Amino acid sequence: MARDRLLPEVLGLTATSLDTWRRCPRLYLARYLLGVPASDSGPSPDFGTFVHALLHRIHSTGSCADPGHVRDVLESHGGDDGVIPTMVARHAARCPAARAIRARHEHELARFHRGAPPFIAAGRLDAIWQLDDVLEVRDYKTGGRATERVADDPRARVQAWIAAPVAERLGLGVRIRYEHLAAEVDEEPDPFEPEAEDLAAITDELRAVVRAIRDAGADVSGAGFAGVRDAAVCGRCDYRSVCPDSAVPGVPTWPEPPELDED
Amino acid sequence: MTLAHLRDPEGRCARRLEKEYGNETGHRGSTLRFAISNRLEQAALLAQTTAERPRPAHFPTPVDLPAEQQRVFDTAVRWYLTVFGERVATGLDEGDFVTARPDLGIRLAGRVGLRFEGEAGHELRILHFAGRDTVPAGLAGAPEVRFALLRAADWVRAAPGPILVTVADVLRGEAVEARLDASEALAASEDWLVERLARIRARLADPRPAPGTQCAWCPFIGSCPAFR
Repeated sequence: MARDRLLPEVLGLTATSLDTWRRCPRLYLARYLLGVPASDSGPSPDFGTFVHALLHRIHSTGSCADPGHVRDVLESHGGDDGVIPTMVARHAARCPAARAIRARHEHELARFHRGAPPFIAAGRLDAIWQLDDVLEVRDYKTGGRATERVADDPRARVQAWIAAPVAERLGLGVRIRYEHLAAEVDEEPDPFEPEAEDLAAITDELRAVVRAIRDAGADVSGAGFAGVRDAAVCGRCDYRSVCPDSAVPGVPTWPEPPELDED
Repeated sequence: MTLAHLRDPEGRCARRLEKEYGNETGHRGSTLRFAISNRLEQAALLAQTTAERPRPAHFPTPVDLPAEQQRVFDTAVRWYLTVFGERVATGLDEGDFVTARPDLGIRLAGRVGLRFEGEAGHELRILHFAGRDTVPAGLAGAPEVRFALLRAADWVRAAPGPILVTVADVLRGEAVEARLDASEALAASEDWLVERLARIRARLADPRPAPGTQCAWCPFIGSCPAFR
């Protein structure tokens, strides 16, 4: 393995990759560094992806406040039944488009940290609204509420860090808001409006993660990237049947090759 | 120019494309992620240095790799032998990693696939490992086949008859094979190359960076004006 390089000289981070690292370093190794194809079927993100795509379509071709336009988009994409119309209606009631100076949907941003250790964080943000007094990033959530304060979610902290330079250029602060679309979530978590010291703290957090990943990379043959060996985590892992640390070993979902003669 | 550039000329930031087109090197990326395919292809060629068929003993588990990669390797070997285990042939060296094309002002860089000569004539094997790209239904128009034919153009021209091309996904257990007329396939691949190159050069006219999620894997971030 000595001839192969595990880590790039500049580590790339996303909210999802950081979440993966925190959930299980071994999963991070398999997915982001080794590029191992998933050996097991995980939960499908299709529904959330579909709802995000519909909201993008609705805003990029018209207004969510126009019932006829919304109906046309939903019908033409097969999103006009089940819970989706209710979700879109919930969004429309909270959409800041009418008072927004500018908006971007499914917008990608990246921010480079030149200091030691160098890294680059990047992400696709569901919606960004430039309002009078703040740059508001909205993260649409189709599932249940997982936190009471957005500030406590590491994913939101990465989003804030990535969006902060854009807000600064506009002379605005940044706000991260989780917009829950499911009808059963009646109270949304408190938005995160980081001050300068919060953003500095996030920089330190990200640097610490990058250092930890580099430390693990220096000992990949030993204790580096140890798996969590937790049945609850492993049971939903895409690599549970090839991971040496799996608490729920199984058989890969790849087609099983026929048995071979040694000759 | 690599297969990735030609497969999707609009798929990456124009600034990165410009740097790669100019053969500039940025910061070094991970190489371990390519270990499974590298090791399997090396073993496959070693398995058939003379006219014989490959056998399981030719593919020892690479115990220096992390356990996940070892397990993937072992599965891939079993599918490789299922697809190719009865083919008696002699493997050819991988050769140079690049093919110069001074007529077009470029070099084609990247894997050529596995080349064999034997009972079936000239044979090209291209392996997938359950990546984003599935095994193509029609091989003549598949970018990976066209790229391999262009990289090995001299060998293709020297073929005594149609070339047996097989694209196999050695994790999904899928394989498609076809016999392609060498001169026809090469001519179509040349046309494809010229068309793709024109699209790439059109993008080089405006090499402004487009910051986004791709930046997380870009080797030219350190000098990118988007982050000054």
